[in-house]
Parts: sequence; structure tokens; C-alpha cells
Amino acid sequence: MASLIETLPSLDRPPLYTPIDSLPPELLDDVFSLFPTPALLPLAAVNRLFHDVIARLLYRRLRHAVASHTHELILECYHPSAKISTPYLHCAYMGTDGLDQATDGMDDVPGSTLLRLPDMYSRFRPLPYDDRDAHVRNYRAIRRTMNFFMYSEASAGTPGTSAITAAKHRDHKGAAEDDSPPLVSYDVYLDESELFSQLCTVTNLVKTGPRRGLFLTCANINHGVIRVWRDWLSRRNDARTGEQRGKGKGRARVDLADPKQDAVLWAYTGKHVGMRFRVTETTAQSETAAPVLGVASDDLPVSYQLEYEELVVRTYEYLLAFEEAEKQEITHASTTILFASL
Amino acid sequence: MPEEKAFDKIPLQSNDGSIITVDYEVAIRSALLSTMLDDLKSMGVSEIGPVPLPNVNEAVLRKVLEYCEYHRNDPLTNNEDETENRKKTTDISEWDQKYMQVDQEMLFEIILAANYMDIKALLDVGCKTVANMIKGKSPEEIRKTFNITNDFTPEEEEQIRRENEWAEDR
Repeated sequence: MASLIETLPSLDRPPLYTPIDSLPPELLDDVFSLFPTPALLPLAAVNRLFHDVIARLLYRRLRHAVASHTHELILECYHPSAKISTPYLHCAYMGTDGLDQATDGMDDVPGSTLLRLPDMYSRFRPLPYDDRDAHVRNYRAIRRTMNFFMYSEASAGTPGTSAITAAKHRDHKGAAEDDSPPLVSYDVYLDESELFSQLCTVTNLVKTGPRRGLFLTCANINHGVIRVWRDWLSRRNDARTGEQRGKGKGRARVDLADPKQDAVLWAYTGKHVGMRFRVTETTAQSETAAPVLGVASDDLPVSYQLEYEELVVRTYEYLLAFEEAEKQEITHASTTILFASL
Repeated sequence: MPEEKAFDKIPLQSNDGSIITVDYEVAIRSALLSTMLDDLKSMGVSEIGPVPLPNVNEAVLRKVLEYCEYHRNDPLTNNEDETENRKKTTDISEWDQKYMQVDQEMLFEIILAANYMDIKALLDVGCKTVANMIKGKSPEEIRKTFNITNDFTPEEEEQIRRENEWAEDR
């Protein structure tokens, strides 16, 4: 249907005063509710009233999106060579700083939503595969050690190895930390001279169908690659042991806006999606002790366990995917679960 | 509800004193009037005097009732379905488009009256009309269309610019 503007010359003539001012904010909100978020944001630049009404509407949309139980975030995180054999993980919503907090105090939280939008992230915890799920059993049956291939020239000829484990945090760490779900973990091996390993991450927002593994809609949030560097692994391992010595579970909240923070590894640019790993060195004694000729080489073979503490997703990207998913037709006849990964 | 037809004709009084009498089916397009009439019925009232609508003047009331008259046989959908549907599209039927060919003053008065009289379908069409006037325009064009003054301070202006830049090239 043609836009009204073309058919209505009378509406195009600017009035001498401002009738739109007669609309109370809640009716202006009704008007703005008709716009998808990307089309909505530029309108905030019109005047203060528009800006304020749009910021509040955006705040409600963000809250609605992250709180929705109809949609679920799934993560695929795999070494490039293990794309086919790595299953996707369901993720539990853990919170969004600046969105979940009660709007107490003087600060106008919804009113400043636009300003805080770039730095607003939602935190998720990737959940271990559920043993009751058939596809998980299948996965375990075919689990195997996979070869790493490395991009670093220095190590082109010496591929390391890696295996993914769904080890439960509590199983091998003893003391249960809290009630939060157990962590999924991933083992990284860096061979001599290997500087980094890579992890592809694909995050999708899905609406689960009547059966698990059947998605009604699927909106992609990100395809990216995380590089796990040797020196980063060592630094994070030290940081973790330092924390433990310090005060047990003094896990400080990470300031994601701080460019110097390195607790979160981002999947490429844009900082839409990142992972926070708990790093534990698992290098065997024999490996570390072997070449003792006083060589100050940092590039000996090492192995670490990465536990997936958090998947962080920029809340705005999450909202866009949510709107995309809502738009999609509920027609996925196929039972395939591999929506994925180019 | 038992159709007793207690009220065949409903006289409505605008805030400037005119009385316009409409059929029951037309009046109940307004949830405000519909609820009120139901209440009166349940109280056993059979005669009704002019119903005052203090927020609506005669011109706007006539215009609103024109809409109700045309749509008198539409099914009265329940509110939740309607809210779901209205989000989906800014399409407007042809008759409604013509109906909305009014100046801005009238347009916004219709919206206010539809809100006050709780006529969801009309409020919906009004909001969509405004949305269509906004759609695809730059902030400056929107200000021009609606004669809106840019009331941001230079500091706020700078903040807005940064907000927009981020959203565009994130």
C-alpha cells in the first residue's frame, strides 16, 4: 500500500504551530512502537521529547528481549578443524548490567539507554550438553582428538592437538563454588613455537520448537573467530591463581568498556560477542621440565584448560536478532539442527 | 450479552454543547461508551440523556463518529490480538487513508479523541498515519514537517551525534 504521504498533500504542508505537541508521551510511544529498532534510533535526534520517549521504549524492548523465555541463545564454539563434530551449546541468561538493576536512586536509567547502548552487554553461561539428549551421546561416541592447524608461520609444520571436553566444573575442582550451572571446558594445546590457537564462535538466537533440537526460527548474531594467544593464556592463568590466593572467589566484575581489560576475548572486531574464560594451566610436569638447558624460551609446548565462564553479547545485537527472529516465518519443516557456521 | 436493545439511540454531547445522536452499534465502537452503557443496562436504566464528552469538540466528534459509522459492522476484536497485529505493519486500508486526509491539527485531535473514547482501531490508524509521516525522513525533515523546534543544548547535540554515529557504523 502506498505511503500516505504521497496521497496526502495536506499533510506535507508544515503547520504554523506544532499540533504534535498535543500528543502526550504515551501516544507518541504508540507511534514509535510501530518502528523496528534500527529505524527508531535516528528519530531520537529530533528533539528532547522524542529522545526521551525513544530511550524509554528502547529500554523496554531490551528488557523484553533478554527476559523472553520463548527464545534461547545457542553457541557454537569450535576449533576450525572440529566444526562438524562440535555440538552447539544452550546458554543460560545470567544478566545485563545496567538493565536488570532496579532503577533506584536519582539516575534516570531508562532515559540514558541510548547513551549506554554501546557498552551494554548481556552475560550468558554456556551449559554442558545434557546427557538425556541423544545428539549428545552421538557426539560423545565420535569424540576424538583433533588436529590443530596453525596459522603462525613459525609453527607451520608442527600441528598441536586439542580435544574438547564437557567436563563439569565440580567434578574435578572439588568444592562446589555456588549454585550456578557447571562450566563447559575446552582444552588447548600449543605445541612448541605455536603462538596462538583459534576458536570459531557462532551465536544464534533460536526459538525452540516442540522438540529440543528443532528450531522454529533462527537469527544469527555473530560469526567470528577468537584467537587464544600463548602469552594471554599465561597471563590469565597467573591472574586466576593470584585471585585465588588473594581472597578465594573475589571475581571482580569485568569492565567491558575498558579497552585494556583482557579477561574477555572478542570474536573479531565490533565487540559484539566475546567469551570470558577461566584459564588453568594443565601442562604436564614432564613437558615443562624437559628442555632444561637454561634456555629462556617461552615457547615450549603448553596445555591449558579453558572453562567457559561467560558468553557476553552486546545487548543491542541481541535485540536486533530478537526482532529478526520475530519477523521470521514459523516454517522450518526440516528437523535439521545444523543452522550454522559457514 | 442479552440483546434487550435498551438503548437504540445514544445522544452524545460535545464540549461545545452540540448533541449528536448515534445508533447503539456506532456508539459501542468506543470502549468508553460501551462500558458505560453496559453498566447502565445492568443497573436497569432504560432511558438515557445526553452523554457528555468534555474532551471532544463538535468538529472532532463528528469526524470520529464518521469513522465509527463506517466501521459499525466490523468485528470487535479483543485487545490483545489487536495489539499483536498493529505492531506488524503500517498499512492502512484505502477508506481509512482517505478518512485521514485532514490537516495536522485535526489528525492529532482525532488521535486524542480516539484515545479518550478508547476506540482502539481508530487510535491505531491515527498512529500509523503519523508513523507514515515520519518514516524515511531525516530528523531535520521531521522537524520541518511537524514544525518541531530543536531544543537540544550544544552538549546534548554532541551526545546525540555520538549515539547516532555508533548505531550507524557499529
